[in-house]
Amino acid sequence: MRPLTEEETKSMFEKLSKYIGENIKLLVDRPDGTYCFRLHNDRVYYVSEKILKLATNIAREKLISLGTCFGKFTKTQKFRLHVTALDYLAPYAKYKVWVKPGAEQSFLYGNHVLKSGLGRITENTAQYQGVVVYSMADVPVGFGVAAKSTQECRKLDPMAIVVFHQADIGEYIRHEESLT
Amino acid sequence: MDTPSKRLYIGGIGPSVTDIELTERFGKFGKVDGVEIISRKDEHGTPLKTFAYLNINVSDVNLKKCISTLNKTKWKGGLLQIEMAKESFLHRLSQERQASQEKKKPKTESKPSFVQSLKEAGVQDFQMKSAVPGTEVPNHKNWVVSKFGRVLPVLHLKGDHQRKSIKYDPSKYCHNIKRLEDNSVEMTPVSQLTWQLEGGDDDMSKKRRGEFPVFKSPVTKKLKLPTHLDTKGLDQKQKLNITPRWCDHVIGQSSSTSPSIPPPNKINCRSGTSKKNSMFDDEYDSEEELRNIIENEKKATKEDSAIVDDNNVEVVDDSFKVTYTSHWTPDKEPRSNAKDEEYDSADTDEIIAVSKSGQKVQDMDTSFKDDVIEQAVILTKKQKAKADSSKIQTQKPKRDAQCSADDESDSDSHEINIGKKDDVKKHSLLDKEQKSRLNSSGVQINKSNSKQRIKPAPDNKSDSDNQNEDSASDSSASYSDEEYSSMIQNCYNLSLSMADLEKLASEAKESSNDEAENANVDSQPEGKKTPQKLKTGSVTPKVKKGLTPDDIVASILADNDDSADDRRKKKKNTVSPLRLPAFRGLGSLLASAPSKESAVSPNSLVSTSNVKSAISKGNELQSSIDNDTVSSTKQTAIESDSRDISDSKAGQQDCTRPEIQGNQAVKINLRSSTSSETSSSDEGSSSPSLPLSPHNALQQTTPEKAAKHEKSKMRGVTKKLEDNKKRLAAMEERRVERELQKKAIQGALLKSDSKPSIKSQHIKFDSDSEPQSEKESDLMIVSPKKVQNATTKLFDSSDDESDEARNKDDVERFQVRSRFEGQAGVKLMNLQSRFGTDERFRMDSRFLDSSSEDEDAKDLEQKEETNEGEELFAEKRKNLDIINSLLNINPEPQPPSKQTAKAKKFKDLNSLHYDPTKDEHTTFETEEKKEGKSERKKKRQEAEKLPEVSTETYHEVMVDFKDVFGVSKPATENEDRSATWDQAEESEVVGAGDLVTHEYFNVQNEEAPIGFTFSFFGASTQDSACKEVPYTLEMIKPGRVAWHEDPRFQDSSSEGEEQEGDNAALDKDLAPSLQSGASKSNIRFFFFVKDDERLKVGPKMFFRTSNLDEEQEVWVGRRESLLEECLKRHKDAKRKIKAKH
Repeated sequence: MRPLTEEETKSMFEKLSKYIGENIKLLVDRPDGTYCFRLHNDRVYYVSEKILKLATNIAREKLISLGTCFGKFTKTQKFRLHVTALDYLAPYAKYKVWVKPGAEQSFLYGNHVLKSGLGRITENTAQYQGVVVYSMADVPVGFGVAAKSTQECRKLDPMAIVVFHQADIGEYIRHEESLT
Repeated sequence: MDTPSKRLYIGGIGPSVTDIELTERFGKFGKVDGVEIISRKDEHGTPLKTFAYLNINVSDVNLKKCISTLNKTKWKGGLLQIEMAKESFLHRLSQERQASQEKKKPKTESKPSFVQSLKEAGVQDFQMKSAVPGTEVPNHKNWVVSKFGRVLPVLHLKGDHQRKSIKYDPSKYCHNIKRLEDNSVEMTPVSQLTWQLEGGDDDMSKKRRGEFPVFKSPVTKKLKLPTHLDTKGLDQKQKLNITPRWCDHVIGQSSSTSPSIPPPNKINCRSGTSKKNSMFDDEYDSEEELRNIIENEKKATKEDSAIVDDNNVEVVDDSFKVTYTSHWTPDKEPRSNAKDEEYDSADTDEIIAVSKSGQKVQDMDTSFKDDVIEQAVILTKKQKAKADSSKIQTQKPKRDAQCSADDESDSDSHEINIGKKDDVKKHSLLDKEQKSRLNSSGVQINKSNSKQRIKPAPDNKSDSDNQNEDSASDSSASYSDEEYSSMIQNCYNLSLSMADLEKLASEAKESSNDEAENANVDSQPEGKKTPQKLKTGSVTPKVKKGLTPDDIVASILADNDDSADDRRKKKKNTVSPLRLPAFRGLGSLLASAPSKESAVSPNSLVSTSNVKSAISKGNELQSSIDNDTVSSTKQTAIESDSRDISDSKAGQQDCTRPEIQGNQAVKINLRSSTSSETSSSDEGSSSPSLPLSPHNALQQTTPEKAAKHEKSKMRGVTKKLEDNKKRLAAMEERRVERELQKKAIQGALLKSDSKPSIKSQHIKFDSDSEPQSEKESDLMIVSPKKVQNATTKLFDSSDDESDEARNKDDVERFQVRSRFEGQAGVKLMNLQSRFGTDERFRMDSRFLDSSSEDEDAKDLEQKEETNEGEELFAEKRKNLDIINSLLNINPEPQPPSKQTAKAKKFKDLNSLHYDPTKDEHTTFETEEKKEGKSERKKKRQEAEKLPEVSTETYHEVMVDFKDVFGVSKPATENEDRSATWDQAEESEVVGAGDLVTHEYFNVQNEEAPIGFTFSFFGASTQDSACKEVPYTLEMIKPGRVAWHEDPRFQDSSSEGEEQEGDNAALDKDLAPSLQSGASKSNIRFFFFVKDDERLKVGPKMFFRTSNLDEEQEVWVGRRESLLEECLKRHKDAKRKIKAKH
């Protein structure tokens, strides 16, 4: 476990900012405690200070996970957000997409969101903007990338993809083995 | 006289020439037939060109005469040009038409003859009977017979880019020719073409028509249903549009209803349909068409409640507030489980539990099934009614969730629903149908029932308001729970149980004694039950089953592991033939359903159950057990499964099992209570365990009996039971451990709350100790040495404990001790904090003095602490910096349109015009100072310096200045002027370097200070002039040329001035730059002299060299030749192009 280097931090924040923009500050600078990011086995964990201290007492090989895993760095040092970060993305999300009940399950199985399944979308969503996907009951079910901007979305045909799937809460079951 | 009519073109006529004059003129040469004057006019009406056409009957000789005399003559202001005119276009047109007609004629004429010739050859109407393709037509070289006896010409075709022409023999390429049938009768005429595609009602044709089905989410796995039920269910579904039509289509009518297909298949189906849809998408080209289709779809599916409208994607602002109902938010509290205002995309727990329960309930006995049928009927009916009535999407999801979870149940219930409209009359119906349905519908119904059980469980609302769509299931469930469960199911339970028992008996080939016993036992309570809404009957089935609660418990425990599926499967395989009856208590199950959180005490559990009628103790216990067990959704599933076990085990009961199960029941209670997360309930929960045990003991007797009797039959299940037993034992151990732990914790808590004790092991905080208050209030200072036990919690739940005492303690805790006040006090406090609340280490003022010694250590320590904090703090800062840098960068790469971003950067300088009205542009202005004397002096001096420099190094004065300047007098004027020129140039205006301004300033400065004599030529005239002579000698001539060409200086008023100006400017520019100059042999004076060569040469360049007329003539000739050349080339080029093609 080690803190992130600057480059790593930068790339991670870049990724995060795609979804929550400047609200990253709220993650870094929290009034209710000091939270920090730590890297362990190529995965980035968001831990509170207290947990961090406790975790330092565990051997490196034995330590599996700590705090919340935000994502991991791939072999080529690209940062990949995991669904476990959804809890922290959802409240600060800038661009949101609501998915209709019929298509919600499809999204939860890992499919992209089609226009026919799109219920609501924040305006001024740019293309390839990171979005958080909600169900109609305002439950965050995952996040993705907007395939089309809001304006373009209006003119699409029903079978066109509007949101590329990146992570959904169904992964908790599907990828149980790989999540930490 | 042979005077052919000729048409003459006369060009260049003066504008005022008239026809008559023309006729007169030309009439001398011959007879004029007609005159046409055409005048091409300018935009204002001034004629540009005038020419005329003249038809004249004139002989050639006369014509020549005419031309020679009149051509090129001036007439009324115009130069005549006489030529042979081209034919008037009408004339030409007529000629062309004639020519074309002539061309046509031979064709039309030739055709009949040709046909005739063919006829002679044997070809009738271009068809040769009984002729093999390839036969040549006699006497016609280029005709050949092709397929079907047709006579076709042999063609000589030329490819696009080939030069050769190919001979195409149609008889050789006739193999692919087919005779078309005449379908004209069937075809619709053009006027009746529509977009409407016939084809019936199947999905493909529907899609073609644009009626897309509603997308329905895939449903969880479901058992196979018998076909008859399925079809019925499907019909219902279609009516209510629960499943999409495409779904049905894809899945197939024969298979069980859509939900039964496992999700991956669903996805495949969907992908398949999406492919299909994509196929159809090709048909729709435009948005309009799409819209039409969508509208059609809308119309077609209007009766359905919640149809997806593709164009109604809601677009929301950033200000749209997301109402978090199931997710934590920074601002809002997490939702409580009780809250269920809107549709939640079904809690996965629910779904899982429901699905589990559904699957586990497969093998439930038919009696239960029938009960469930009732339940399902009631519930689903209500649900459907609600769904149909309101067309709000939220309902649909709810329905979907329900459907997704338990569609099969819905389908079945639908089907049942159809059959039974009247709830009250279900009794009779059931009696009739129960047997037929026992095996078939029970499963799903059970599931639905279980689902419905579960549905109300999370929803605390037990309001029977049917209006509330959210509580659709709630109300229905509650409704059913409240009345029907008790009324109907219990009754039917018993009735069915009897039948089932009989069935069992027949199947099992058991001795009927026990069964009869059981039956008798059952019948008695049954008799009681029927009139009343009592659950007493439920006891008997329990009693009879004996193991049912225990079994439930066991199964629940067993099902904690995830091997339930396997077990289920096993059971299914083995137990399916045995549909064991007499289950007990749907009512009990339902009773337990309503409250999830109510499991605090068995009494409370009972009270919360919706059964209002008086319940016997056994019932209570039963229900309590059930409630306990069902308090969590999982447990319901397990419970149902336990029934399976009970059913399967009906024949075989070990004596030990009931004991175990009894214990397990106890533990279940414990567990349930713990799961309900109330510590205080532990104590309460322990109590029901006690009554349970005797109950279980009671129940043991009957199960034993039954066990013995059915042992022989149930051999197959022994192994399973044994495994189960082992598991149960393990569970039991765990339970015990947990209980112990819990007790220990509780004891510790109680202890800690009431009597804080100092343990000798380590420093520990007492709730009453003084420093602890400060310590706890100041959370930031965390000493690494200290270990904080959680014995004293600031915000401990103080429900049961002495609140007052606690409050007091709290108050005391947080008051600052007197000795800790003040700065010194703070120090002391810090000191004290190191040692915690240990009473041995109370610090007072004495320590302050000596604290200086300790301070260093303390500081170090604190530094350590702060270091750690600082590290984190530093990290935080670093992170923030990175964020800032990122965020600053981020907006740029993410402009909504990259073009705008680019546009921002690019500044078009060309478009930047100075606008005096704009304030911003004042920066462009330079100040135009009127030079004061001092400034001018300075400038003068500076100007002086330049020549001085040059004089020192480079200059040699060769010439006698007097000679040079002998002529200077007349040139003084010029001097002044030149001075003014220089002046003007000094004070340039930026951005406007026109000569106009020069002149302007020129004028100005003349008026301006008179006293000023330009130094350049004044003080150092002699010197400078001398210098400049050689310079000027060199430069003037070429310079002049340059100036001559410079447009700026061409529009000055006088040539002289201009030239002087030129020279002066030249001098000024050149003088500084020129530092070396060879002196020319020919001395020319700087200033102009009369008859100076320079005066002559220059202007000469302005004059024409040759005579105008001559030049004109030359030009005309050249022009003609040029024209001819041009035309030639044009024609050549055209020819080439034509040749190419």
